[in-house]
Amino acid sequence: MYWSRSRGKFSIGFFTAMFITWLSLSIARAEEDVTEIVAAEINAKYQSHKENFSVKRLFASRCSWCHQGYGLKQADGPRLAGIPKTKEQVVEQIMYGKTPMPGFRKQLKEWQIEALADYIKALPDVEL
Amino acid sequence: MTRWTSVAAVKAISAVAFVGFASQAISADVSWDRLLNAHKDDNNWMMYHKDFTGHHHSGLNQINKGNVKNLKLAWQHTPASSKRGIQSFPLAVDGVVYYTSSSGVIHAVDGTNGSLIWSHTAKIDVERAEGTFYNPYNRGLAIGHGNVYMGTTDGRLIALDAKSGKVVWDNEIMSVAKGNKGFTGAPMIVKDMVVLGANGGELSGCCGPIYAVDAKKGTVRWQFDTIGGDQRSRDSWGNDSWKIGGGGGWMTGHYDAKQNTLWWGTANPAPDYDYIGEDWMNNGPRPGLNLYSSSVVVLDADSGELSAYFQEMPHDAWDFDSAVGEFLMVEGGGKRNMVHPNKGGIIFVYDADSVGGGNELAVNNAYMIGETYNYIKGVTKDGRLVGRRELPEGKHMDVCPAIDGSISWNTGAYNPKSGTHFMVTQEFCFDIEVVNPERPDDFSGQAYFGASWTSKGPKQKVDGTPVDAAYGTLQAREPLSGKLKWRVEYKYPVLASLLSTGGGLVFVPGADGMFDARDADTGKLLWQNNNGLGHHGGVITYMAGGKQYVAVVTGWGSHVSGNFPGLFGHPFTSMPTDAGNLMVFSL
Repeated sequence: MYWSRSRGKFSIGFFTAMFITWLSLSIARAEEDVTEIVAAEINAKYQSHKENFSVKRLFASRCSWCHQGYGLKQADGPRLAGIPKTKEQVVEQIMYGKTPMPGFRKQLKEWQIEALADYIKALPDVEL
Repeated sequence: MTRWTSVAAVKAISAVAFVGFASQAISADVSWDRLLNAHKDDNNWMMYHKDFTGHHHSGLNQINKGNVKNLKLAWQHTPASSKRGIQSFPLAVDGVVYYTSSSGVIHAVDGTNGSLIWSHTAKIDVERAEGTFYNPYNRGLAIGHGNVYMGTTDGRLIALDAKSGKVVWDNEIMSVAKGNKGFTGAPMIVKDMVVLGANGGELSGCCGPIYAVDAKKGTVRWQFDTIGGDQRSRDSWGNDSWKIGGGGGWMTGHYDAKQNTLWWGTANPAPDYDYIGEDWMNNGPRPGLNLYSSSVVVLDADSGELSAYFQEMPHDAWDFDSAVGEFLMVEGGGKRNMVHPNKGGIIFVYDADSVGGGNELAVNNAYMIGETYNYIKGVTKDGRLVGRRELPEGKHMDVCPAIDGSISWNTGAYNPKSGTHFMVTQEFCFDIEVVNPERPDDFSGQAYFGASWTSKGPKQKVDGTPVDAAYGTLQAREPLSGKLKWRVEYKYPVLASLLSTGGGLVFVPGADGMFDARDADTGKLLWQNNNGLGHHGGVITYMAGGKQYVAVVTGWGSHVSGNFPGLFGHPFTSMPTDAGNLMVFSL
C-alpha cells in the first residue's frame, strides 16, 4: 500500500513538476526571443573571426528577403527552424543555392557560411 | 547515316513539321505604325500594356454582362517551365498567342485551339541568373519588326523570328561589371528600338540601367542609369553609396508619342531599410534623397536623356518603390494626365506635359487607396509625403503595409467609357527589426538588406475600424479625383493584373485560383471559374476566327505570394510553386 501510495505521490509530483517546467519554458519562450538565445552562442563561437560579430545581423542583411522571423517563419523561402538537413547540407545549400535561392559562396566568407549554418541548425523547432 | 546527315535529317523534318503548323496561323508583321495605333485595334493585344494608353482595356464586347455566364474553357497550354508560376502577359496577334514562362521559355500557339506553332528555350547562364532571388521570373515579351523580343535573367535580350521562332540575335546587353544581374520585365518597342530595364533594387550594385536597343541589330542605342548616372543623382547619395545603391527599372513602362517621352518607374535603393532613422539626410548607409530610386523618370525616347522626374518616395525607407509599370494616360480638366500607382498605395496624377529640362514633374493630384497603412499619415495633393514613420535600428511592431506594399507590380485596368479605374490593394503588415548591415564592396551586386521581419494581419484601418485578418480589395475609382465608385473585399489579396472590356466587364484573376468576371459598373460577381492555381500574371482578350477569347496565366510562387501560407494557411500551404498554365476562355 505504502509503495503504491508512494508511487502515486511520486507520479503526481513528477508530472506536476514536469508541467511547471514546461509552463515556465513556454512562458520564457514567449517572453524571450529564442533567436537571441541561439545567436548569443553562435556570436561567441565566431568572435575570433570578427569582433562584435552578430549572426542575426548577417542573417538580416543576406537571408531575410526570403526567410522571415530570423528563420522561424515560412515565407517565400521555407521556415529554417527544424529543417531536416545536416549542417553540411545547409552549408552546401548556402554556398550553391537552389533555384530560386541564390548561392552565396562568392558573397560570403567560409566562416560566415559556417556561422549561418550553425545558427540555422541551432534554431529550436518552435513557432514564434 | 553519319551524325551530320542525321542532324540534317532532323532539321529537315522539323522544318516540314513547322510548315505544317505554320499553315494554321501566322501573324502578319507588327510594324511601328501598327503598335502606335494599337489602341484602335481591339482584335489584338500587341504589347504588355495592350497599347500606349496603358488602359488594359479592350473594346471587345462579344463576351458581355448578358452572356458571360456561358463563358467556358476553350483550351489550355502547359509551358515547358513554370517554376514560381507564370508571371507574364500573353500577346495575341492575328490569331497567334505568344507567351513566356519562367527561365526564358517562349511559346507561340494557335489562338483558336492552343496547338503549338513554335517554342524556344533560352540558354541561361545559370550561375549568373541564380545570383538573384528574382530567378527564374520572366514577365513577358514584345513583338514587332518581324521579331519577338525577350529579356533574360542573365542580362541578355533575344530577338526571335516571329514566324519561325529562330534566333535572329541574342546579345548580352548588361554586364555584371557594376553588380547588375538581369532582366525580368517585358521589353517594349518604341520606334525602331526595344526598351527594357534592369532588376536589382535589393542588390549592392549600380546603376539599375534602362536600355534602348536597336531592334534590328541588337546593339545598345542609349542607356539611362537610374542611380549614379548624373551629378544630381550622385550628390544625393552620401559617402558614394550610389555605388552599392541598387536601383533599376524592372517593369515595363509607357511611351507618350506627343512628347516623344518614355515614362518608367524605378526600383528601390539598397539597402532596404535605413537604421539611422530621422537623420537620413546626413547619416546612415545612404545619406540623402537617393535619386532617382523609387521615382518616375521621363526620358527623351531618342536620346535617353532625362526629361523630367518625380521621386515618389524620397529616401525610400520602406521599399515602396515606383517600379509598378502602370501608367494611364487620361485626359481631364483640360490636361493630359499620367496616372501612376506607387507600391506604397498612393496614386500619383502627373501633368503629362510638364516635361523637358530634367525638372520635377508637376503633380495634379495624389491620393491613397490603401486602407490600413501607417508608414505615413498621408500625402498632399501635390504628391508630398506627410508624417513619415521612420524605422531606426531596433524593433517596430505593426508597420503597415509590409515590405510587399499596398500595391504590387501587376497592373489595374481603366474603362475609358465610364471613366473607371480598377485597382487592387493588399492589406497586410509586419513586425520588423531593423539592423545596421555591413557595407558590401562597391559594385558587388550582393544581397543587401537591413532588416528581418514577420508578416501579419493589420489590427485596424486608417479610419480606426478594427481588422482581424489580412485581406485585399478591388476598388473602382475615378482616376483623377480618386473618388470611390464601388469596392469589393477579397479574403485573399489579388496579385494578378486586371482586364477591362467593352462588354462592361472587369476580369479579376484571384490568388486562390478563382477567376472572376464582375460587372464593371457595380462590382457584382457575374461568373467565376476555379483555375486550380493562384494567379499572379497577366490577362488579355483578343479575337481569333471570329470569336472573342479571354486568356489568363496561372501559377504561384513569388516574394509577395510567399507571405500567404503564413497569413492565411490553407489553400496556400499546399499550393504548388512549380506549376502553371495558359488558360483561354470563350463562349
